[in-house]
Amino acid sequence: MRVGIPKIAVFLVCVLALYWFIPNVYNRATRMDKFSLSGVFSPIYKSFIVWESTPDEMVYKDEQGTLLDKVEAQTKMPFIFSGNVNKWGGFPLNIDAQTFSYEEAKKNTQSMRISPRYVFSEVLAMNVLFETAPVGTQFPVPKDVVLFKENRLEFITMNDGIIDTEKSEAFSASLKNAGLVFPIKRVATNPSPLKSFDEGMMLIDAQNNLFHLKMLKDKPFVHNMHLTIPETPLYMTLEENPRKRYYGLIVTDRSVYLYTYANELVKLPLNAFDPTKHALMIRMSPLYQTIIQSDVTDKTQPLSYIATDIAFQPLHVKEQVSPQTLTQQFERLEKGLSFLTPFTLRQFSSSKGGIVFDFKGADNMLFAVMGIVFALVVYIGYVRLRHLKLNVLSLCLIVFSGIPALIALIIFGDVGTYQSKREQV
Amino acid sequence: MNIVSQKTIFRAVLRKEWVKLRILVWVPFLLMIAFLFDTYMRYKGIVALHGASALWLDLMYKQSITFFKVEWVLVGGGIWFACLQFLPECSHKRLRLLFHIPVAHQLPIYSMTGVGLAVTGVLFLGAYGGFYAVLSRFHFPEELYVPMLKTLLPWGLAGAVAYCATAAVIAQTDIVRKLALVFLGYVYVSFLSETNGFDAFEDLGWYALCCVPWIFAFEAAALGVKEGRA
Repeated sequence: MRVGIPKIAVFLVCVLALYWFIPNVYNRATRMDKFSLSGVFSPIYKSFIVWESTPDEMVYKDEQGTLLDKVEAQTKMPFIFSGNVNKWGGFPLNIDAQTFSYEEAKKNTQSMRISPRYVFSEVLAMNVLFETAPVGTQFPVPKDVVLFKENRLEFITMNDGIIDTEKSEAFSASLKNAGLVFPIKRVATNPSPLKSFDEGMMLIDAQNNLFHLKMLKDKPFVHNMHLTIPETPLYMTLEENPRKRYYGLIVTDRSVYLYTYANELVKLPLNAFDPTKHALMIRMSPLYQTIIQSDVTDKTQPLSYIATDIAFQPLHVKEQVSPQTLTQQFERLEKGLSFLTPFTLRQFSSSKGGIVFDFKGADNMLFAVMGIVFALVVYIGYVRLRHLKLNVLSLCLIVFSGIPALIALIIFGDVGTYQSKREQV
Repeated sequence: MNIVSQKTIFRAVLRKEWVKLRILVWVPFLLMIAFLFDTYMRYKGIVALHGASALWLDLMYKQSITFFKVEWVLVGGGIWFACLQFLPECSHKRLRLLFHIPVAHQLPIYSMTGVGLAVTGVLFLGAYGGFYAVLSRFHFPEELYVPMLKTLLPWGLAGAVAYCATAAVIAQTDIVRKLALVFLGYVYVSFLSETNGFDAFEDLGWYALCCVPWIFAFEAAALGVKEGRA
């Protein structure tokens, strides 16, 4: 038997294309209705109220699973739905011997979220630094951008690309004088000019120390926050929330921290956090905080709702799995795809940013084997029907590559051909 | 004697390719220049209307890919070069002659595809250099222009795949296989032209490896002629 490289090459092209094409089309054709779970710790019930969202409706339930009317449910979550509750005459509100006006409730509510895609996205090593104390009421877009070099900051004017040496040296020197060690590992800023106030930029230096950099009247203002991130920092946010309690989040390889206006790091009480898998939604209110932790890589994993006090000490934990019908439907779709192709090539990942080369085996081995057996049977039937000679190499390729190999072999023929009598002479 | 024959054949193939390409090979290059100029004017328009900061911030934070036309010329160029080379080569069953010359058929086949891929490579380098020249006009630092230039790399691969696929489609005589090759070329160009900001391809090396088998697609299609399907 002679194996031709060109034929093997075309076989590979065909199989690789189908590893990408089959899951792509299959997932689009079988896309399920969007379904999401969320919730918040009700300061009135002292338990969670969860809501299940589909494209058409939002259903509220208490912890026991009892359906709640929309008005009843939202009234029990007055800080999250403060606008509606105010309209229904729910303010001023008396809870836990405290009274809250609508304005106080609205001002003291804050939410933050992270997902692996944000944490592991590549960012450009450049940013803009706004003037923190502008002359007018708005924040004019700066004329220059900051580049983060190995041992300094560099300000480059956007209009002509000229480096502002004086400003670069002044800012770099200020950071060094405050104790910052270059290179800078992580940067957080809010580049929107449509904000009510500016907090400049947060920087994590080479030794995992946190620094606050602002520009005041074109001069550097550096504050060493004397906070050291205890693990490897991966991602940082700067929220600029009018509440002025938390600057933002710092995600490390093992934990998530809030860094506060009181120069403190608050570790979130999470359930075995893995930055490559877990997404977080944090809802803060004047009385209780709710953290929702979900595994974006495995939809069958339960969602964790963690209620804490305002110091993020856990008070109550609840786990919720997606409805069984949904999980069953999801598993059925996985089985179908496993039958169609034993390998898949995906370009987008829920746990990584950018375009990846995610080449992996089938989720359900049993159905992958069934797909391979089906392909073998069809191939043997095809060979018999066409009165061809059974090709062992083709059988091996089907065993390894399943239905995509069958399609490639039927269209382009066997990759190995038995020598004809004339060639054997 | 045999070595002399191979050299002679190689030179003859190169001359033949030059004859086929010389007049119309410039079309994608001219289009490329036009689209690079279009990108330049688009950027210049933003700067003139909204200021340099609007352009910079849009590119930094939105990573808008406003140079799609340049990218598609790479794919179009690959198809164009393959048509110029292989339509005259494969019409009227001329491809059979390849298998009746006194050297292995691989020599003329890979000489031809080598020439085509080289021209596609030159087009890519032209696009790369031209785009660098455009970006330089707007004073972008390397932190910005390097990811923007890297965005062209998968499109360069897509251009090479488009070339190989078109050559194979033209050489293929079986209609089902012809359509299948069109489909495979479309699939490859589709996944190489995915976008998600600048320099989004994290594992470009793996994608490049997946494209390597395309080099042999023309020979596989041409072998159909040898095996008597033409």
